[in-house]
Amino acid sequence: MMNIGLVNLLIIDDKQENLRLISSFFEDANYVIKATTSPDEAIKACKEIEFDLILLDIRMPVDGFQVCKWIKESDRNASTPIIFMAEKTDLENISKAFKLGCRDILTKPFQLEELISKVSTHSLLHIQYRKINELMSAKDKIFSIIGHDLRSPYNSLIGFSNLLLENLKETQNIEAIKYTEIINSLSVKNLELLDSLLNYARNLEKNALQAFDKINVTALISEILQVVQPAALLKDIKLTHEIGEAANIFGKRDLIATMIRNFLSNAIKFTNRGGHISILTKVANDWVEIVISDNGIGMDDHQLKTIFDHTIKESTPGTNGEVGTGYGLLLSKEIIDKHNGRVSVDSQTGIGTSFKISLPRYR
Amino acid sequence: MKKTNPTGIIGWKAEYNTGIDRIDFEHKIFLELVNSFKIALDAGRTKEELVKILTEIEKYAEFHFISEENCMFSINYPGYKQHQSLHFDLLEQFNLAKYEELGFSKFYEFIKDWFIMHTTQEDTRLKEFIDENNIEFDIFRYNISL
Repeated sequence: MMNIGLVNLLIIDDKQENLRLISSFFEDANYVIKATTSPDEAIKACKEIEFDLILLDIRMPVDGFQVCKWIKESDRNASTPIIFMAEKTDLENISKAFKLGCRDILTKPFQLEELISKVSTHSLLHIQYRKINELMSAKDKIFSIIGHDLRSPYNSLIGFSNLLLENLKETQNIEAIKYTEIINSLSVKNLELLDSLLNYARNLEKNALQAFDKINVTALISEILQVVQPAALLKDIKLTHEIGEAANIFGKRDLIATMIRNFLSNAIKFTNRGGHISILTKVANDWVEIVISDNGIGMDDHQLKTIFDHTIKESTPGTNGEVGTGYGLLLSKEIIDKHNGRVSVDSQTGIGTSFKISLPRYR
Repeated sequence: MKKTNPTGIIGWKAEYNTGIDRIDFEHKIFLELVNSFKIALDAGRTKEELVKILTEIEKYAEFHFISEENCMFSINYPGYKQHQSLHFDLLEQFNLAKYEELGFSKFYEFIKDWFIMHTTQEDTRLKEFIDENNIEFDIFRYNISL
């Protein structure tokens, strides 16, 4: 039997013997049972207790479907699953119950194992459903806190340290200026880290929820290149796009765009002034391959091993001293995984780096 | 027609007749099933075999109730809905007895009374309705030659 903690069960049937019989099967400590022949009492209980599951007889002096309606109108039990009970030959009511969207049906005479299994399965389902909702709320709360409450102190730190630097400019206090610059740059970096983390986590959620469409990879890359061009120009880095066979993949456009943009940003960050970055797209059987290569500073073995490891978050400054957080590549890997793709990397320090991203082809 | 013989097997009685061949035919089969259970019980069959026969009886009762209700519905029997309710109640009783751990002997007594009570008291009302209303009931028979 699955371990699900305490289950609050409500049983409503006009026959006392039925209540006794069903309750007898759930005598173990996990079930807290409220059993009543009175719909009024049941509705009253539904206003006070949040049940995990309700067993409701259809055929009573009061119409079972009406009782169901009243239960759904209560605040606490509007989404509590209801299992209707009906006699095996009562096909009309059984059909009606399923049409109304009941969670399940128990027919009498019942099979004992069926009764026990349905009760425990549906209670577990509902408890898990509630837990998921709690977690979602908690997560949203945390995003909200990070979004507002944690960011604002950094804005103050950055603002005030800037002011301080303005004031200190005229003085000859080199140490004071140095310390203030440290405070300022740490604040900027940490704010960026916060924003990266927020972005990463928010995108994870987006990853899970969306449906896929057809994406023209070549067209998408062209768009992205236009976006990153200014940053490349700043360092005099040449960007080239080599197009093999035109191909489509199946995915979420903004996620794929984010993924490619991250790889390109990294390439720009770790390539020296006057360097060269190329993007090559080609088709290999059922895969579309995107190869992003640079002739930048490359990575050593340790960096290669930890590059996609989310438990090790070290960030290397770029060739222009650019700050980063390491979350960009992590997010890219997540996106690739979600699209059932693969990524491999080749790199040598002082020579350059090449990332090969393979995504399933859309036919 | 056999009378009740010493082993406790129930024979068909005139008072079980509803006047509708098809329903009477199904009742006779039902009786056969109940008798077969008694025979198996007395012969000391295993618990598993006895449970299987009881399942057969349970399933047959479900079928028979629907069959009977269909018949009542098609002749516009005024007591149709009430009779259907009685069938539902019978199933509830069967369910309770099933789990009450009566033991097979007592359960047999329950089924026997359950069947006889309902048949002689409720199903036979059909006969009155048919006689009073000259219902064309020839269509309600199974065309099987045994």
